[in-house]
Amino acid sequence: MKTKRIFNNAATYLALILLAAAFLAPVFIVVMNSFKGNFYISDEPFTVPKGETFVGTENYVKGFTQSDFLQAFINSALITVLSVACIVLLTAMAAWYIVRVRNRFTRLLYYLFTFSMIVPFQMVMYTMTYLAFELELSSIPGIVFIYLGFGSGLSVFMFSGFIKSIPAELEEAAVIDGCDPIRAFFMIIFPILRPTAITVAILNAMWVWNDYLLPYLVLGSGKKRTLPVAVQMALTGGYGNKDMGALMAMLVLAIVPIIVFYLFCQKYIIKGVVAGAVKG
Amino acid sequence: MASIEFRNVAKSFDNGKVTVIPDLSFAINDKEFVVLVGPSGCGKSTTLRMIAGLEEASKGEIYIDNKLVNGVAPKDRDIAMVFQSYALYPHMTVYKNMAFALKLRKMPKTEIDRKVHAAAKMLGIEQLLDRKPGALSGGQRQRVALGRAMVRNPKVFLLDEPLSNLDAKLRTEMRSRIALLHKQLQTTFVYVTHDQTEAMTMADRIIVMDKGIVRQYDTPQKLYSEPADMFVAGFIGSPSMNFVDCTVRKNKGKITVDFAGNSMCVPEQKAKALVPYVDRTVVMGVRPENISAFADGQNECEGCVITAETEIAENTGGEVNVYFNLADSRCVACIRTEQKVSSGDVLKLFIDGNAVHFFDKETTGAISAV
Amino acid sequence: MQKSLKKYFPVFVLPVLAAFAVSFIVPFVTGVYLSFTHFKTVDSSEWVGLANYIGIITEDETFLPSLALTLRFTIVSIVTVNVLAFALALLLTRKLKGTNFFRTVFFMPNLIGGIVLGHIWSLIINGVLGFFGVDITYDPNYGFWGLVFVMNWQMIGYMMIIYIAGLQNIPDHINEAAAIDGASPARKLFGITIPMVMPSVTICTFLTLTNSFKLFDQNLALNGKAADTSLLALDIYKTFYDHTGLRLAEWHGIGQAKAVIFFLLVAAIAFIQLRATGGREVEN
Repeated sequence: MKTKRIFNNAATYLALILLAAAFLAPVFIVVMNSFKGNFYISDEPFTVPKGETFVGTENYVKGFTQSDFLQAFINSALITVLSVACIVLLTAMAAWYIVRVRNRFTRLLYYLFTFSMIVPFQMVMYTMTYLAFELELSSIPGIVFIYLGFGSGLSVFMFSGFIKSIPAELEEAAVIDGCDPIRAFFMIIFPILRPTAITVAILNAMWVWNDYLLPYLVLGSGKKRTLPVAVQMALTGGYGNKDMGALMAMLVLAIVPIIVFYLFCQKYIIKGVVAGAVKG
Repeated sequence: MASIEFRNVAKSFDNGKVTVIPDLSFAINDKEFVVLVGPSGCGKSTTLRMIAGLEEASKGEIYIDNKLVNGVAPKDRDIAMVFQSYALYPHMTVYKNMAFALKLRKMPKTEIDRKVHAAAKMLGIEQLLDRKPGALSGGQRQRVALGRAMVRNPKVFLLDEPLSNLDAKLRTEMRSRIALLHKQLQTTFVYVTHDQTEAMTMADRIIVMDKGIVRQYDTPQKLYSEPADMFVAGFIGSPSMNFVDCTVRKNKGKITVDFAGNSMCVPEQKAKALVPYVDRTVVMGVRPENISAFADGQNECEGCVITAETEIAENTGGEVNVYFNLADSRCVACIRTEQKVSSGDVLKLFIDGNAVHFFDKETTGAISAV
Repeated sequence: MQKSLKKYFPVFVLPVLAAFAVSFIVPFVTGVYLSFTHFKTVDSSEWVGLANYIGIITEDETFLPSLALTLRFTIVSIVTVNVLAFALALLLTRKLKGTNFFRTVFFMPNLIGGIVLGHIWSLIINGVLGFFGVDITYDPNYGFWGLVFVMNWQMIGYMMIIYIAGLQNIPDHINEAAAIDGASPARKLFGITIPMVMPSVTICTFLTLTNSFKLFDQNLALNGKAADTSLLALDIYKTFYDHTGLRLAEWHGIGQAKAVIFFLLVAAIAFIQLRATGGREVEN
């Protein structure tokens, strides 16, 4: 019985280790190639860099300078941080109002927000892009505004669910203690919403940071482009010989921030992402 | 330190579709402890919330300290409220919970500190000041909620079913603590509950409400001895009063009431009021504690001896609650007896004629000599 | 609070509502309208009734193949992702040490965005195919299975987490009772474990379904240049932006009509999901 158990466990570990290796392999291959010379990447993509094929950090230097990677990185970071901040704060406020002020209009709003969650982006892709240009939203503040609109469906929905569970007596106590609605929100409600706010922040951060089509259509592929747009441009744009080494380095640089973020708040991310899935 | 007055106040919800309170008037004196009691949905909480300003009156006037407060924001009414769920801010420590209202009023820090510590000391929660509500027991949270109300020195203290989330033992303890607090603070207390025991033990005066109407507003003693109608009579006292239909007869100048083959002569001072009801049916009310086991040789004249077949007997220790049927009504008697009573036993019981109440069958109002 | 809060509409709701109107409400309504028109740009539209919807069948040659491809891709993804994710979840709930590390590794690809992910895989797949002197555009099947690979790599870890939660919710006493009854491991798996995690299966099936159905970024990055491996979302995109010339207004109309149909399909899936998850809860 005991030997059978040990054998079983060993088999499980072996399976898990092989699978983990398979899961990590793609990233590993990219990292490996990012240290190789241009010529060797397309010729021997699956060998470890050594001797003459190893070029050190050369690709990274090129990746950084050639494609104006830094600019795209800063754009992406700025858009993500601002959008997430706006979405978390403003949709929490809207959700509180919608839940607490019960009338036909707020009910309609709630249904509209919920409805927007199931509408695929392609449905509004063309008309939204047009409207964005008409309203001159092709800027970082402009796209933050658009992200606020697109993110509001899921975020209002998630905040509303939580706010419904907050007893109204708590807010009445705040009113008697002397809070106006603004103070009640910022001093009482928002701090209580913290767990949901973290989930909403993570879900939206992952989405905005990785989003490609919306920033491509609204901001274009020029100076205001985001990281995914820069990656897409570098890897598919243009003809002729591409600098594969620099591209590998770019891919690695695009992944690293996410991995670091993930390793630091893994617990919240897994919880948040799954909560979003089950609710949405 | 303020009086409260309602003048013809009405309250309806959903644009007048649902009327909770049709027309309410009463006055509460300064420093009085008044309990609003009644079954759920009777409008007692709405009344309290109108005093607090959490609900606006649809009609009528509300005065606090002789000032009209319709339209005055809750924070400007100088009141404090303790909620059923305590409504403590979960993200703040006990200290911050208590200090919150004072901070919003921009009171100096040292002053806040002094007040919070004084209140905490009075309630015995000084050692809890750094904790958050989540780490407290129900009784401790209850005391923090009281403390949060106390630090503000309000003119009026409003309490909405503050004890209903506590277990029985703690409830008894907190009852006396709140009564003591009222004595120490010397302010007006308005207390809402559905539990008549709480009302009877704590109140100076009780407002009994039903369907948005004040049924009776008086001291606990008066409510018990002179209930205004069958609702109040049935609501106050535990187990509640027995009601038996009976017919009023006049026999040789004496008034008697007949029920289920029994005839009871009514003591003189009660008989007078029954004269207009001769040959009509009235409702007799008897409290369970006014029915006793009959001992031979007892004076039969001031009451009535009945025989009852025990349906269920509940031994509560010193007393036995005997359930039986009398003239189609299910009745209960609390009798003191050494003997073991079990179901099926036939008992001789004595109804104390001096302690019975009579009610008009139509209006349900008490029949009393005017 | 309701009364005093009501006046604060401009502070609490207006910012979000304005953004929501600009990015969703107005584009959605005009989008539905424009699907019945030919338009070069939004402000120059000409009513054509149902012509665009008919045009999808008669004029357009990509929509139906793309729909068929999307359905095939969705079904294959649902099966592979869920079977593999469930198997991983079973391995990780055997109370072994170090499962947290494996969980972290398996979940990680989910966080990498579709564009980057697609390019990583395009590099690898083209690297392998390079030995045979071809690339991913050579055969539509390469593109198709490439997409299945990408989808699996990204979604397995995610679904695995949901399955783990479901498995951990099975009370111990049920497994113990089965052990006492002498159930074989296979019997236990099909008779107890799987029925008990049916709610998770439903959730994961629908999640894979919608995610596969709406897949765009990965498709664009992996094989966006290949004409015959566009899923619906990419096909709509190409209808809008890959056409030029005189018939542009017509193609815009057809693209928008495709988008409406795409929306209706996704909405139908969401509706069925709502019924399925609302109606069938496992009893404890």
